Amino acid sequence: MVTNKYFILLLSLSFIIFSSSCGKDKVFCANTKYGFNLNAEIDKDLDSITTSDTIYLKIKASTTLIDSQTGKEINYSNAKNLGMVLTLLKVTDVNSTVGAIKDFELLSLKGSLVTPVLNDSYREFLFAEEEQHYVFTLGLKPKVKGNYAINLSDASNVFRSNDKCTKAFFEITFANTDQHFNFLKTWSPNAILDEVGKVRVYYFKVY
Amino acid sequence: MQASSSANSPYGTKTDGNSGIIALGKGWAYYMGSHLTDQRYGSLCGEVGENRSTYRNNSPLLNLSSQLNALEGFNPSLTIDPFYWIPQGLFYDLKDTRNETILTGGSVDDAVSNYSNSQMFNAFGSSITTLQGYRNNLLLLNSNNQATQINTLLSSYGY
Repeated sequence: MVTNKYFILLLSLSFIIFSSSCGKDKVFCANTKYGFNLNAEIDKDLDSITTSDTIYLKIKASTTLIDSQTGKEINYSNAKNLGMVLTLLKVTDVNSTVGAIKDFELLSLKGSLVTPVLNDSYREFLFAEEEQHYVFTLGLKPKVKGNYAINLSDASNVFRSNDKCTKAFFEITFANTDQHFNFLKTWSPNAILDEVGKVRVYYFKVY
Repeated sequence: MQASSSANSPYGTKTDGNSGIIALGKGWAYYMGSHLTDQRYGSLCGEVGENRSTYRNNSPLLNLSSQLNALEGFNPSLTIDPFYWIPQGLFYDLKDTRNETILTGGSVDDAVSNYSNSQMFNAFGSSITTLQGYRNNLLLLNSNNQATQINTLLSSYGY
């Protein structure tokens, strides 16, 4: 009983000591060296669309990025696993949501869907790289009417084809997009959207 | 997506034989390291530069240090992350009162709250080598406190 508990303790302690001192050690590839920011936009960011409309989620960023910790430009091209989880929810009443992936036709125009997928709420995508840029364009064509929310994830432990050890973290947030927070006043009047939500969520209505 | 062995170094993959105990040990290590740093330094915490860059004090969540923001920001659904299977935020989720899914569609359905560090630590034992085993023992030792919510939380983490 005691042995395994202390094994966990030892493992934890060794991780803390090891990870604090060996960021440059190629044997230990768990540390993240760089932090970058990517902006996502919705085209067109109308608060309400019809079932015959399509909106497009777009990301385009240079492969040379500013490291958030040092402020230095870093060429981080050839990323092997840069992508994100896109969550789609239908707001059913003021306090609940359900997965809404099946309510949309997803058109992966730039980037690709990661398979297999067995969830009603989200899909995982990889971004593409073209002409020294990371690009992602996803069309969302609604099939049914309702109130919806799109949520973006960050990308963690991103590595490159030619260097699988040096990891990067990509914070992915909305920019230059009206995220229609005004819907919350009617959909969930008492709710307070925290700072995580404010930069990663997009609300819209299909009528 | 199956990442290469060096991308997964040193922990391996979720399907490796020892992944259960690694997930438990590493998950606890992430939590305890962040918890103790938060307790000791609080608002003096620096940016989290190891494994989870860009988290800062009060950002994105107000009143959380960079350490706790990093735990809350972990997304276990991102399987293209070679370490997605190590539940970095699990133990903090057992303790805190915030549910990541509310209004934002965050990936962790965390309706569990107020488990203490001693309750969580006491659920480790010699026979506990998987997340499922840990969950069962945690519930056994705590009169099935919030059992439904814990099952949902573990499911969010892929277990």
